[in-house]
Amino acid sequence: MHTDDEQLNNTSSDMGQAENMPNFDQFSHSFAPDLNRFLIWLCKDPDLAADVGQETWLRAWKSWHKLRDAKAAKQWVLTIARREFYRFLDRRRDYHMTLEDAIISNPQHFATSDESHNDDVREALWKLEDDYREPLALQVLMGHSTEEIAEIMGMKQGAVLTRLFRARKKLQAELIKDNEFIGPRSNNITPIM
Amino acid sequence: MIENIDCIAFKRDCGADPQGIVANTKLLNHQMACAPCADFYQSMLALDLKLSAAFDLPIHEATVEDQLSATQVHKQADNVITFKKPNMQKFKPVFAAAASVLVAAFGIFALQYPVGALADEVVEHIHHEPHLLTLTQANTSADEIKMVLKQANIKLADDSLEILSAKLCPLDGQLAAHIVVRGESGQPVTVMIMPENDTRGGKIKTNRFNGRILPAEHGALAVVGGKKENLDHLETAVLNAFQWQD
Repeated sequence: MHTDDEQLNNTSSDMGQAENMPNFDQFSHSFAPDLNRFLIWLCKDPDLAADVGQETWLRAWKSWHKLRDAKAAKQWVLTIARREFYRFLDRRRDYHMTLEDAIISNPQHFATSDESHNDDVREALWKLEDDYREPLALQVLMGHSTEEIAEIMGMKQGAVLTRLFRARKKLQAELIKDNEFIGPRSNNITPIM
Repeated sequence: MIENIDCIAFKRDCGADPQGIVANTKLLNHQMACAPCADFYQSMLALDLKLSAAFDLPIHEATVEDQLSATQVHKQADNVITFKKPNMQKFKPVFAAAASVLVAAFGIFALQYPVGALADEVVEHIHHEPHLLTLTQANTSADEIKMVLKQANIKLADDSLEILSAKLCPLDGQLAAHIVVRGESGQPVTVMIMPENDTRGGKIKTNRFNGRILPAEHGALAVVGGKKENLDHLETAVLNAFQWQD
């Protein structure tokens, strides 16, 4: 397992911290909501996501002075967050949060009465296998390229592309089944093969 | 309809990264010349719009502030921790009273985890949740407490402790029960029950906290109060009250 410092080797040089590095407080406040969203989708448990987020920010803060590449900051923090979560899973192999558990324990994150048009899509996303949902969240929610996702997840880019393709295929099938409109014309949905 | 190789490749690439099509001249040209692929492209863009809205879960500002407050507290805290070998004699009566909880022989030092690192993790975690250090009344219902303890595989053997808060937290890669009880002084005292840490115990002393890590039947317990909190009786009460389920 890589340490935070080892991860930093990919984003640092021997020079001092770059002048264009964002202030930690500014960066963390602007990025924390998105990181929290990603962690909820990753953990399927908002309470656990909040705790993993705390650990992540504390570790990021401790090593922030070593970060050299401002552009890499988000990817670096995401890598710490994923590692924290999977470290937790490694030690708690019996941990398993089902969709039902998640809804019961955290209804405020799932009852979206003010935006009910998202309910079907969210439900389909929750049902999606973790292996497919995670790269999709990194791409659609966090805005990472497939190359960056491959780095974050420690996979080959081809494997990421395959997962993303299959994720959309599964989602489309699920939403068509639920009569959710997803295409340019509701009577002319183009299946994904 | 029989798709040619370009259509198959287009759908494969577009299905994996619809936004990336604009950067690929070959794919862009293909969809401009192929109506089914153009429809497919539009449907993928529409799907991504919906996904983007669905992924965008509401995040409460308080949650973010709470997460980030840990770093603020940590910055301000003078976190000098010293560790001393525990006084074995002092624990003897406690072991006898809570034999089902404690490791029977304190001399079996099957150490797998340096106590300094564990204590550091515990103090760090307490700093993460500063609002729990100012609790004046319970913020967790009896049912919730029971559920947390059950998930941590612990039962409450008596009702000598006034539990103010109970939750499960990831700590050092395990799910620990983070419990806050009222101390002798009336101030909150943190009890961390860590089922996967083997330790011989140790003392926690910082400018803000004092406490002790105690070995237990399954893992370890940490009892941490304010700098001036007298924990002697509370440690015994905690060891008696929290018992591991078989």
